[in-house]
Amino acid sequence: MAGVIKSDGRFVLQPDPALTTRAQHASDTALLKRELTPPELRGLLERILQRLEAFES
Amino acid sequence: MITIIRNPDGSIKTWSEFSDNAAALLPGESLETVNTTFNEYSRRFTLSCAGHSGETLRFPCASGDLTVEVRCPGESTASLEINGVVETLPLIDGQAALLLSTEVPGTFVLKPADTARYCPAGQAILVIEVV
Repeated sequence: MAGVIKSDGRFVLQPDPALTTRAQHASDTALLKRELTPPELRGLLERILQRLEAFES
Repeated sequence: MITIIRNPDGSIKTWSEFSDNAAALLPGESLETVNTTFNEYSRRFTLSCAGHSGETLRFPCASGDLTVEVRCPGESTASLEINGVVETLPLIDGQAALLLSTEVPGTFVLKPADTARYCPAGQAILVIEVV
């Protein structure tokens, strides 16, 4: 369950890492059409691991 | 007359109009009777949003703030839990409201903080998905 914070009298959800990375699905898929730099590859792997962790929990 | 089943920790598991629930008890659970009606008991603590109560609601992301109405007749304050955060609201005529942002996608789960007093079920729990 996502956390919440109270800001300006409203309750605001804390971004869920799994949802944030899922939103990048299309751009991540597009990345695979070209050679990746080491930082890009690291970022892609991190996002995959975050989504995998959310899937398993 | 209604019967209430409590969990081993004292929180309310469920309640019903039937009086022969003893056979349904799990180890550690307890049973008590209250002289009220099912409807009256269920209306002691209710949460609603956009006129809906006791159901899962879904709103688009970035669709503006949502107002949740809290009704707790006869009380001066009401404590509820919003995704684990406890908020105590002052009530006017047994009612109050709070705002939820739809800026970030995810799920709000609102329920009474004191589950020994109010059962987090039916109209006392509200799930709002922001998608």
